Amino acid sequence: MSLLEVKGLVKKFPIRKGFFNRVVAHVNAVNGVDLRIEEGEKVGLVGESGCGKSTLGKTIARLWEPTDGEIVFKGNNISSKSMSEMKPHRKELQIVFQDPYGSLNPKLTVFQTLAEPLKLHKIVTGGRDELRKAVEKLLDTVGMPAGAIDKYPHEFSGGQRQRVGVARAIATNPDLVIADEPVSALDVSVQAQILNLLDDLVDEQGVAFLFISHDLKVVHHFCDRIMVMYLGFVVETLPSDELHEKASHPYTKALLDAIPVDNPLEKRKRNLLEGDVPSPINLPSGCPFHTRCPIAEDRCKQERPVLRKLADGHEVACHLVD
Amino acid sequence: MSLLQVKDLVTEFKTDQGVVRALRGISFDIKAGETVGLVGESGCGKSVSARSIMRLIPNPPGKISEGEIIFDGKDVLKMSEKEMRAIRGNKISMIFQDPMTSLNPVLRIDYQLEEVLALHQPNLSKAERRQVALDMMKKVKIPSPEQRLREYPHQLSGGMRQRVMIAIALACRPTLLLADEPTTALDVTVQAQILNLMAELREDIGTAILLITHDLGVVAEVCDRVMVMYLGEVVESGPVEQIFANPQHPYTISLMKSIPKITASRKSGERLDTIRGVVPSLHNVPKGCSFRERCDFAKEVCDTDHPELKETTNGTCYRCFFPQGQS
Repeated sequence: MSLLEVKGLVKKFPIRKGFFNRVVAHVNAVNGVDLRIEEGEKVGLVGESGCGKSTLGKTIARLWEPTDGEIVFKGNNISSKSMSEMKPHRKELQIVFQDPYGSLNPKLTVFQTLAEPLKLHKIVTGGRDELRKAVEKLLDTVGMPAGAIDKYPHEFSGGQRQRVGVARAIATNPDLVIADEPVSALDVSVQAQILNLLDDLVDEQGVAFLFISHDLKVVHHFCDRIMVMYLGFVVETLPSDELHEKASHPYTKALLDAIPVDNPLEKRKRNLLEGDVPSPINLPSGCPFHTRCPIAEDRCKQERPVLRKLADGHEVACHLVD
Repeated sequence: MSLLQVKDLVTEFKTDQGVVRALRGISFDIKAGETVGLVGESGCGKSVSARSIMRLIPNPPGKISEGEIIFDGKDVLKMSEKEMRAIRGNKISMIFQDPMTSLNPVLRIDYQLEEVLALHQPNLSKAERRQVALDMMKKVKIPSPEQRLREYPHQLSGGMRQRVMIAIALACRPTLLLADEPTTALDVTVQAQILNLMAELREDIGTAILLITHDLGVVAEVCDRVMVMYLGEVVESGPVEQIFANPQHPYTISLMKSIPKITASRKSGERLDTIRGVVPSLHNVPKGCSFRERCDFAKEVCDTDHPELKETTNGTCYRCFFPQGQS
């Protein structure tokens, strides 16, 4: 049994307009995504802004209500559970947010922030001393000095705040952490520190990660498996080790091509994508990528490709790839 | 002769905790038509450098207290505000990081593009301005430019807004373009489009570019020379080929190593090289070498003496007592 199994997940946001607030259209953020995460696995979700990767993460964590589809977490279908029924599952499924400035309550000290999940989920039942000890241990795990315990978020740098965010997520000993762009707001040297910290957590506590990022380099480094999303569809999924040589969807290739290479001697012929991502309100017919695809044919405008297996662990949604 | 020469520039800001020196004596020059990259992490003074050249440092609290900025043979710091206005947007223009907020949301694109022409080229008629605006929109490859000119910024995507910003910046064919993180807010595929566009326009107009970024990949791809900044100082500079092939300063080396790379030989759970600690506060800059506390190669002398920029035989400079590259 997989730790997390998502089947046909759909999330639409209604657009309301007019006097009666009628629903006039939908933003099709996530359009039928299947996903499976095993215990201790690091799965990366990559794509450009607006491709639905954050919505997918938040819907799995039930911060959004799914429009359709199933979310099976540790054998329980949590897709339609009420908020109170969700509580025991939240302990096992935590989330780290992108913005280390906005995701911590500025009026709470680190102790208050980190003690809250411990009390709420009855992980520490003793008094204040016991709580303080548990929080100190958490701070130590994420590489923060014990002296940080009574400080407020504004006293820390971005990287330190993100460490507190990570500490809060792992306070309840979760099995799965959804990390939504956890390093995007950080400088590269700090980014490397946080990535190493997350790797330690995987090694020591066996936490599984759904790692959401727009940065293919970071996802490739951290994750075992990569899922590439475009306009709410998964267009390719493959092991990280094969990204460099076996990426086959034209969009994945374009993403790889667009990354600047830090070697000035390597003058490459790049295949650049034209134009912008289409609006998720009016999805293109057929393949969602056909409007920008360099190899699109007539067929791509009519038939929507589904994910099919190319090799073990490698699936692609494209008519034209063998 | 260099187009722009910056000499020992010091920019200070008054804060509640005392005066901080955001730029601690930086010197560099840019030749006509050249692209120079300025890299470093947040707070190292990259943006303050560009804003100092444009004299856009708000005073108070900021002040350019020492140094010279020679542009086209004249010291920018000695110019009157009126002379400065004739240069801004005309001979030197600037592109900012955030294409969402750097355009005025309540004015149409055509107004914003033609405004710069009306200011700096008053002899153009209205029809001529319109024509130049349209040409610029075509040059930055905005689809259906006639229609887009009549639209408002919110109707354009992020990539298109940045194209409009570039069109405005280049409308008067400036000799120097200061680009402050022009692609940071954009997706990689759009970033690649914008970088290509900037390279094409450089060929076309011959503008020199000071490209500020934190992304070493971007530098490697488009720049001729690069300067690495740390805590308000240039710690290493030189031609990109040399700096990337053989960096000398431990900070440059660590910075390059801390970026994950996409290679076939990936190992799961492999650690990235990090730089320990955090950037020191500008309020108490360490005595001696400013990178000392985070450096693996520091010795006693680094505590007490401030390293000067040293030149190497292949045209690079570094500020370190114990350079780690091959000599």
